Amino acid sequence: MKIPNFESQRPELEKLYENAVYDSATGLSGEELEARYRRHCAELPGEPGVLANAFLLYLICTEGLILPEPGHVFAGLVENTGLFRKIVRERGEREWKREFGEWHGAMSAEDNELGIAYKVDLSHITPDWTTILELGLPGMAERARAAGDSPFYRACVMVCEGAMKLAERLGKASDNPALLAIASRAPETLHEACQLTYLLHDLIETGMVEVRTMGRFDRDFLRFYRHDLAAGILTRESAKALLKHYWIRFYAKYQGKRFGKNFCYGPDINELSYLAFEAYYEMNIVDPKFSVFVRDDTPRDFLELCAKCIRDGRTSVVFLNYGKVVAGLIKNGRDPEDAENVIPIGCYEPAVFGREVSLSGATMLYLPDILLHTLRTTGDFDTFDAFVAAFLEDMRKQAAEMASRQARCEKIWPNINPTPLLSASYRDCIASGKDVTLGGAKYNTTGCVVSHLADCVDSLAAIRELVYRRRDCTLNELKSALAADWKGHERLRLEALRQCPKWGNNDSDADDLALLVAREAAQALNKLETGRGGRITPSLYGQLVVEHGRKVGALPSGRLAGEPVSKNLDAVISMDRNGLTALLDSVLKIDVTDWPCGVCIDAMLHPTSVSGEDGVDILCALIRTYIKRGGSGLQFNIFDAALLRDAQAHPERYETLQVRVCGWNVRFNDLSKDGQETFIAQAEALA
Amino acid sequence: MDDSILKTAGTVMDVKRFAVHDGPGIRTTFFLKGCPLRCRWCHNPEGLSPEPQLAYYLHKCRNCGECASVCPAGAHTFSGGVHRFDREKCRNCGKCELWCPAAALKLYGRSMTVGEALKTAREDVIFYTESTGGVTLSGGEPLLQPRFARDLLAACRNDGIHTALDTSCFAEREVLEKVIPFTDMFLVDFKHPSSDEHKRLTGRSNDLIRANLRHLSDIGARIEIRIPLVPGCNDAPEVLAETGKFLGALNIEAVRLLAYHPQATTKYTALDLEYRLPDTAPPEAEKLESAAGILRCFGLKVLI
Repeated sequence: MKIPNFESQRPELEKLYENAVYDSATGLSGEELEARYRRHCAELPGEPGVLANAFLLYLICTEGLILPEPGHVFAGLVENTGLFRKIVRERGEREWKREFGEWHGAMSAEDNELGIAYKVDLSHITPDWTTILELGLPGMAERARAAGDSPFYRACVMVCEGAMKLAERLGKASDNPALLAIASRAPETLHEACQLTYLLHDLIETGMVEVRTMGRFDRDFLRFYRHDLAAGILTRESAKALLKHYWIRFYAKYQGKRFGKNFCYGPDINELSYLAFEAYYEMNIVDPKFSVFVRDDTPRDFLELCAKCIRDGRTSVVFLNYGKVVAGLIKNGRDPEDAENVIPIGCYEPAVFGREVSLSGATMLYLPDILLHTLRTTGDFDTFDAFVAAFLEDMRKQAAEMASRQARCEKIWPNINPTPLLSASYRDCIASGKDVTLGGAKYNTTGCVVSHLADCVDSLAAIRELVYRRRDCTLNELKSALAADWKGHERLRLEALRQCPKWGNNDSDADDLALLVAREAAQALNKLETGRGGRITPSLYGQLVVEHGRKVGALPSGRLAGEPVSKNLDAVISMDRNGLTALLDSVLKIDVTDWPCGVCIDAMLHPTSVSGEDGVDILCALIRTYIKRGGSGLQFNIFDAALLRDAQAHPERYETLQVRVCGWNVRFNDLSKDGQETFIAQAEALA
Repeated sequence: MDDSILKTAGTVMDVKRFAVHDGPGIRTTFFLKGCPLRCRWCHNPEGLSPEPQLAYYLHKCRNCGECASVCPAGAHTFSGGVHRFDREKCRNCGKCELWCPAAALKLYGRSMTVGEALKTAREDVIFYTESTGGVTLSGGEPLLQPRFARDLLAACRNDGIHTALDTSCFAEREVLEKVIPFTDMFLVDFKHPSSDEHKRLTGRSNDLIRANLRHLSDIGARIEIRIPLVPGCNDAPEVLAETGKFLGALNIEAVRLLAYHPQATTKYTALDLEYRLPDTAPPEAEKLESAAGILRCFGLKVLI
């Protein structure tokens, strides 16, 4: 097969979604589609939501305007008029109001007073790509049809058939044989496999579910690659070009501004793993993002290839510990054979591939906010232990409150957006006859992100040091200092910053507090139930550190109100005074199997630390050490402060400079000023 | 191992963990204070004096007066709202460093025992193992604290930790002999081949250094040479050729060229020391390449 040169099409492909002009001759306008849908609902007032949603998606597939792409390797754009979004929001508003008695414009809420967040989660999901590739669209439709005639099954059949029709329409308009093939059978070639997953990715997202993960790529796509090489359809080089044409479309959709699309590799490394990383290196792009399951037997040269990407600024890669991740899932109730088929949802949140709907970003426990809540709502304590006990009790209380509110979100979810296309890929949904929103998957867990551990630990350590050990102030005096954002208490603040133990230095004085908080949080969350008959699945990392930091008041750690909070399992910025190895030593004390929904640490390195061939060796050693010692979730940022300052002043010279934000990459130029400053502060702390 | 060596104390000015330029792999480097040489280009002036020293970074000072209020020796005073630091009075207690909100004060040099150093080194053993790294003693000149250097190397060796010594080799032979049995690798600075020029540039002749290097080579020690390439001091082709001739006759693993950089000037000011190499720019990349080319003519493996 002749694959067009990637670089020559790249500029056009990058702007594909932005510049798309739909031909009105290809279907109905947005207004007409909406009128058709409204008429349908009026005619069938009691129709189950799952069928209404199926009808809407089918309508878009068969009548929506499409973008013909002759000359492109892939096609898949059907006009997203915002109709689905509008309908889902209408239902969301209605249901949320009914459940919570108010509407603030979103199906998510953050209670900063209590330090919790919860939502109707329409993101953090992966379809069962393995099944999709195996059955193809007709096979999925057939499987649902054979399972029964309930509204759910009929909805599944309808959306699969809609997708087949869309593939056919796009295939004819674009003269694309891969699309025509997947309209009538399961994929056989790499081109068809990529086209099918891309088409369904976009279609599921059109149905207002954000697809975060594209599967175990080097495992599930390997047979297509081998087939094509053997049949002479592709060469290694043309296959590499094909992958670039495939991935650029995920980038084009969001322009690197929405968390990234995860493609997972390992633990069994094969020729496709190498090819993919070579293509990724050459593309030098912020999205897609890669996750790698590392094991002791991960080949040295493959790890070197990954390290070379990191060294050279292609840092959208996270390294996960396969053994520990699987053990964590088993320890927390997943069957071993399911746990082995793990997939990171989103950034680095493990779940059982195709059998678990883990909503990994649905709920939050903000540890620093909870600590401030404890300080606000309690009096004095004779001992530090008594204070910590009160804090832990408060944390358990807020966790329970979070779970109860989240259960209410999940109760209304099926009324807002049943998702037959996604559910059609889940074998357990087909077996049970239930949509994923009704708990049709085998495992119906809900992620809870326990966030900003370092700020909480440093604050507890400061309270112990200042109030109960040195007795430099009373707890009430400390509270006054916090209320004043430390104004007039500069000496005390300096003491808090400089003379108290800090997380991330392999200092057991601070680290033991971290282990205590982490253990108690995991235990508390593990007992809580979701609204779909599963359990809360806890994770330990912190994201959106600038945005959340703005909402958090002054902390006993010495942090001022509004400053960024700590990211993932990192130390508070510039508080990891003993360097990267000490930070990793601290993090390695945490038992990652207590955190089945994931943990992550960011290693910040100066470019001179990892330059040349020696640099690749250093990176490999860091990854190997961290994994061998039981760590999981390791990612990197490589830069120096001077360069970032220069990039801030001269953005035009740094158009490709990317940074790892939390679990995804963005161009440095796309960060807010505050976001840039946070990275610069981290880089300065390296010097 | 005789446990009493754990009590041997030395003066350490810095400990760098995750050091990746001080020998193979990931290492922990202990910088021992004090140096017998006075290289004009020295980029670690805080390592010259064997005594602890307080550095005062004037440009960071906010004239807030905290230091004066905690100094037990009256070394920090304020007149007309301006901070003055009297080095003569300073007892290097470090109290002012702790309380300076601007981080304008820094104490270089603290007493540390071998046991304490070993404890720090042990924390990173897992990283040494995977990267074939270990512990490096640097300075200053670590051989100026021979007992501490030897005991720390011995303690690391006893733990199975790889040891490297970053030294100028300016030390009496008997001092060098003490550390040889416990040192896996020598990182030897070689600054100039000519004895007279060496004396002019560093204050000392290189006779001892060359003799020690020959000795290390003769006994089959692992040696990596480091040459700070300083424009106008040791970068002339004939000087490099002379260097290559001397080193080429020895058993050397590799020569690493380190480009001179003038970034230490603020440290000199902060320590009330005179910087004796003003107006020297770092060597350009081509200059490093051509220097490497000359050295390679003598069969040396040269790294930049």
